[in-house]
Amino acid sequence: MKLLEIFQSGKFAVTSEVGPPKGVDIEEMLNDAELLRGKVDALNVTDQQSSVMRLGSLAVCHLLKMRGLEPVFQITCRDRNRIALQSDLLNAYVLGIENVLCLTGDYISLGDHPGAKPVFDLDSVSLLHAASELQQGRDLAGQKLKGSPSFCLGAVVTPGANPIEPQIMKMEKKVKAGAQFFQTQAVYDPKRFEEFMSQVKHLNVPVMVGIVLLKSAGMARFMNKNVAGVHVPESLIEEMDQAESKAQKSIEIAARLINEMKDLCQGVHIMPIGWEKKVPAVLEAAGLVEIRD
Amino acid sequence: MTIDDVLEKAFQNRAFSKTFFVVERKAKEWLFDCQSCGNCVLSHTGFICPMRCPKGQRNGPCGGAMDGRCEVDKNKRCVWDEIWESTVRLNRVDLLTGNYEEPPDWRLYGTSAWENMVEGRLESPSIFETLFRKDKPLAREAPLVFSQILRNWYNRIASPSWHRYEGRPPL
Repeated sequence: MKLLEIFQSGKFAVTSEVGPPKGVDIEEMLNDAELLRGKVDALNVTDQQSSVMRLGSLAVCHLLKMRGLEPVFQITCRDRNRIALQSDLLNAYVLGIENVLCLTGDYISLGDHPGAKPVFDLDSVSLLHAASELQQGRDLAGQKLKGSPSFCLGAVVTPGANPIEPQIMKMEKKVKAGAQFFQTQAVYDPKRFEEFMSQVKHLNVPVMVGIVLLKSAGMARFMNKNVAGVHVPESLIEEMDQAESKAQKSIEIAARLINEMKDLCQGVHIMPIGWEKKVPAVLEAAGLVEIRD
Repeated sequence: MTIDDVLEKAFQNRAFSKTFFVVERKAKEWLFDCQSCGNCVLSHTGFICPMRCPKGQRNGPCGGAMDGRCEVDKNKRCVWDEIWESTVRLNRVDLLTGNYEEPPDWRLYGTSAWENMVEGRLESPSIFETLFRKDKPLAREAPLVFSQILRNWYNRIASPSWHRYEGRPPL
């Protein structure tokens, strides 16, 4: 099922994330995905996150689909040129994958093969454009296709970027190129997010707010210092610092953030980063499980 | 005969085109750190070359820049931070927002962008369009453009200590 149908029905969409392992032991990953069955609308499958070589997104999306879970195929421009990217989009479609999230991708030198050749033949905007062209029955070179795919195309945006204007400009380009929904970088500041949402109101496109589970005060400080566009307010860091059970506090904070921002956007995207098993508790605390039933 | 026709004829002369390219390449290398991609969009991007971005982003910033610093090399300024500042100063943000930049044609790598444009190898004749033909030709604001190019150049040679000139905190 396409995520677009969820947005059109007016339901509050919920997605989470599955990170393929570095290796072929997929049992734990599939068990984590199983915990979310019936609780989320779709599961993003990351495409070699942080430029670390691992099991690919397409294969895992297929595995999820075979098990009756709805995947969101993340595809990045880091490792493939325009021929391979378009081919992988076709591959995804024949495997029954309908949701695609188009990204530029992290830079190679940040990963575990820093000496590899960076590709970046297309960027996220031209990748969306390529996918839209495929849906129209032709490829980027204008050649006709024998049967065209149909996707629900997604993209990402960083609401906390500074300056924000170039981000919004790119978001506009992405919408023009065919993006039908957006997932955001982690947001911890509902005030800032409200401002952002009013700035992109004219685009009229569903936005799913990104939630990253805080694991500790140290992680929050690290993100403030090192992750672009992410700002954890001091009050949340203190709360984490003083909490006896970090996990309990983390779930509480995530649920509170979701509830504060629920009315501003059309969905939530939860990135557990290693805490996959805690996502059901977050959804329960945020009252999102009842809505689903 | 328009300027196009004259140039088109001139470029068919190998001696001319070779000399032209050497001059263009060296001048653009010196001024813009040009990579000679042959698909020039400088006039759209505030005369900052987007191909200097590690990811070669031609349509906007990647979202990895922190406080204007590139995610890949924190000693460098994000190219799109520069582009945004420069286009705002030139008062031509519309050139960024209005244009979807096609992915570059890699066959043209290492060739003269002006020649490619005149010979019709580029889909959008961007330099001519923005400099001379549109309703708001950049060429009419030549002093502003020229001073901005020099300012950009100065900011870049001041790098990696560029933040001193932009009022940003040191690393």
